[in-house]
Amino acid sequence: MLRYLSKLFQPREALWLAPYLCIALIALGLLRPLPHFPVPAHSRTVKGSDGVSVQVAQPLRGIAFAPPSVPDAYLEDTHSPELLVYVGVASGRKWFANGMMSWVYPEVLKNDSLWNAKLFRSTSNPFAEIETPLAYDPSVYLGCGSPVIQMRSVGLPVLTSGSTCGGHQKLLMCPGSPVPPVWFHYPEGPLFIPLRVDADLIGHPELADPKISSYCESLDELQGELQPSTLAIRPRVLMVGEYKGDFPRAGVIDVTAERKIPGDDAERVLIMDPDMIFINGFNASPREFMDDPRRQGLKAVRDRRVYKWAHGGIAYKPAGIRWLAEIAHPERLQPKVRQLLRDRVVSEFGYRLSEEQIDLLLHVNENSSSMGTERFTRYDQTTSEQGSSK
Amino acid sequence: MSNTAVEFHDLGHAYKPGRWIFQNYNAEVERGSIFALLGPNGCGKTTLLKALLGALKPSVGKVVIDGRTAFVPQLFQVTFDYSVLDMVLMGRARQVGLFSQPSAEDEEAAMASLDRFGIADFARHPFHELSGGERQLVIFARALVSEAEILILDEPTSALDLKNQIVVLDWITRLSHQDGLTVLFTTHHPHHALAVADNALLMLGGSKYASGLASEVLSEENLHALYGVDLKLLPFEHKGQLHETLVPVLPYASRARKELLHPLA
Amino acid sequence: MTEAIMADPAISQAKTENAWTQKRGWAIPLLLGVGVLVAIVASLCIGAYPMSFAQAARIVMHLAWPGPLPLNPPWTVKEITVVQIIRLPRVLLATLAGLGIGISGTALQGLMRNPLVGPDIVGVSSGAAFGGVLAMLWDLPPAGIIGLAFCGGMLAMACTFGLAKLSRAGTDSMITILAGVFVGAFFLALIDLIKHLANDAQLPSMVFWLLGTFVGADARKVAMIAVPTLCGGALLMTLRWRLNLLSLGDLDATTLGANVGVLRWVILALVSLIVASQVAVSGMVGWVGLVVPHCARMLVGPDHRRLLPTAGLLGALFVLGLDDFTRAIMKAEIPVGVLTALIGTPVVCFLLWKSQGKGWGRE
Repeated sequence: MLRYLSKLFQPREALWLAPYLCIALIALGLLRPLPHFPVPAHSRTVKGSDGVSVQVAQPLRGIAFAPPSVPDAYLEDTHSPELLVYVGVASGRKWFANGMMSWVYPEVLKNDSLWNAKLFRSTSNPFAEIETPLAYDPSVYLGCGSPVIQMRSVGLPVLTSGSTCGGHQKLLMCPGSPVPPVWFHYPEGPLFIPLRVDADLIGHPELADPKISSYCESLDELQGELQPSTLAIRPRVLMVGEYKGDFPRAGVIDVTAERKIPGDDAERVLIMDPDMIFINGFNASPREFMDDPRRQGLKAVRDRRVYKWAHGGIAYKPAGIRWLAEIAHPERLQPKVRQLLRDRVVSEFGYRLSEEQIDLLLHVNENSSSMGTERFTRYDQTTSEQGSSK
Repeated sequence: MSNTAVEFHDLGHAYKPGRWIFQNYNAEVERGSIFALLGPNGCGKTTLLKALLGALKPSVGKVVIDGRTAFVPQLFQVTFDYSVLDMVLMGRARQVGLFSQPSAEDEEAAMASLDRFGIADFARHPFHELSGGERQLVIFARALVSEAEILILDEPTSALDLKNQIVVLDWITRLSHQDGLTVLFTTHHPHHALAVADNALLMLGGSKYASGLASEVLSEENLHALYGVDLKLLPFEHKGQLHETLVPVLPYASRARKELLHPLA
Repeated sequence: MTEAIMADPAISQAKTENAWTQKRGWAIPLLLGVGVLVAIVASLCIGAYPMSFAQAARIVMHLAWPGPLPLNPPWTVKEITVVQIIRLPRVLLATLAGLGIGISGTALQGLMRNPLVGPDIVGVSSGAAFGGVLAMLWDLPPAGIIGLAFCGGMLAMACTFGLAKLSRAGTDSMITILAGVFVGAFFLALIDLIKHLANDAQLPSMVFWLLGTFVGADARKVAMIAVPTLCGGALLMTLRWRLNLLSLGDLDATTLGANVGVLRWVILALVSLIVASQVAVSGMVGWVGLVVPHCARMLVGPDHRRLLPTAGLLGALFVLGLDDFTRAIMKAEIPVGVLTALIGTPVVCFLLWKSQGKGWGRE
């Protein structure tokens, strides 16, 4: 045995063995304990929407997004684009460019350093996406989902505040509202909680309450006009896609909750036969939907009541809920959506939406062949009190 | 170590049941002697060799081999172009441990072996670049370096030209006389067997065979029975010594070629 | 000197040259060894996070050297995170995969006396992949995947050589290779059956895995491939001179004193183990086991004492290089298995065309 080992360490054998030995040693090095990011010397504790508290280094050096994220909600909540150091990949940039926040804060869209063009689409490699935000040096990362878990496993400060992550905290409700069966069915869940987290993050928690109050006031106004409890008929509505919306406040019924038949398969839709259908998606076209021969048996198609849901920047917002309500109950409500939208954006961001931009947000062109959408156009003449463009 | 290097008793083999290649063979090969195996193609020479080498388990009978064997095959097809030294080094398989590599001593022994046969200059050449005779010598060197006591060759001269045939036959004799190796070889050339072998075995088919001293067994009658042709035993004188060789008599040419015919006085 | 003359042994014209003192003998293992280590460190510099070569080298050396890490390290926590958690596992995975495939391909070629075979041709890769997808279908833990992959590989190997034995062919004949092709095709069909049976959650990951990829590498996967590859490879390394004997043919090897039957099955089992561990962590990466031994043979000759380590190191360089290419240059990551097929098939065609002129079966 000894002789054998002594033969192994002859120069010629050793020369061949050496690289293999090195590789084995390097592989063994992976067994070491994982590195851990130290807690910063000065930090503040911020609690995220999933209930996890994070140490955020002070002073706030910057905020980076963990993939995949878009900064719309953050910008709406905080009005602080200057704190961002990294946002996302090129595909996220395209998505952002279609939203309202890219008009209000065009510098975020134009700033190349915030976007990584090398990954033009997210790969299935989780680590490739984490590497990119690591290259920046923010005080905190904002994110949602599995990258958060991976980044937290090495001790990075990742805060969850997105509208689709969380709901583990106690819901913030408008006064007098019932608690929804699922936390994201009412806007208080996906909007208020992230609002509080974001405001806390940038060190201005006082920003949250006024917004919440004005929001609840708008909702109250809508309820005052609509009087949902006195509605004789509530249209049955099919919302295609994930968004479940705020149906009670808009005075409609979610047909999928009623029958508990999920999905939007053509056959299932025929069974449910809703009064109104809302489709979504980048290329969704109500015209095509209504022209589809498979769907001619639907009541909603016959009545031309297929709409493209105005997701964009107004989902869950008072303008969005009012939009749904105005389609469902035009006789009770004045056409105020455009004005509401315009006023709110001016008062919150100081930005004046143009008529074209409002058209885009409300999908006026796509919905032009559907019933009851004239009131959303800028040249609406149905009512005498409300004027149109300005 | 006994005086008998190789012996087999009642040896017989049948590839298919009932179809015996050969049966009831007995022989003893004395240590340090040269033993020739003769027989026409298909009579089982290679089968007998394989049985002796342990590469084949004979259907009946027993083979007793006292000592290490080395084999020189008739044809060597090597897929990869090993160098001559690599080929000879492979003969050290028994000396090199299972999980070891050949040491400097092994390589020296290989070079010495090549040197012995006078082909040390070819050590770095690829094996396939050598001529048939040189390759034969390389395999001899490999057999020698394995420190075998028994050398078994399969038709060592069949693929060689005249010069190399003589070289190889001389080496067989040297290895036996100088190094004390026991040599067994098969051949198609009875005069080769007569020239070098001490003992011979003629495979006459089935269970018939003739075995014994080469000078006795390689008689005209036996060879006629073996090959079906006429061979004449011819004595000749060379450097004051009397030798014998076998010459074939061609049935037609010997009658037709008048310039060679002389009436008996 | 063209003819062998009966030389008196006392007159020796050649000096004993030790192959290892030749300049070429030292250069190649040194270059390859250093090359692989440099490639590993250089690969750690590829990625979105900026990392210099010197820094990466420093971190790797400290990670590899036994002993605790320094208290005041010359690197930041982010840098060591990027190296230790994100990049090093993937780099090691590619290196070990290339190493394993190179060594096992060479051993297989030596055993089957045919320079145009590889683990994928003999059916081992397909068998191991079948075992892997079966384990994925049954939602087994990673240890189960590698275990089933090994069983699948051994099963395929046994089928191939059993079929060859039934048709009385040696390990070196075309019949064996054909048997390998058939067995491989059969297991590929079984894999398709499993893909059909898989549910929607399992199917995409199965398909992606089958393409051969190092994505999602972590320390556990490195352990899964390192242990069998390094241990099996070490054993194969000790047997590498015996491969020379086996490559002569069964009869010659037996008469020289090698235990052909046992050796053959041991080597096949080791090859199967190494290939199975590679397939289990990274899917089917084919053609490397065929091309790399050829290139290694062109570099250092056919003697397996030099060939086997060279093929291992060349394989590591090749696969690591391809993985770096797909990580760095391509915007969309092409699975490594696809790249090796795209590169390997033309190279094999070229080698086949060249060999028809010379004939690699020398007489």
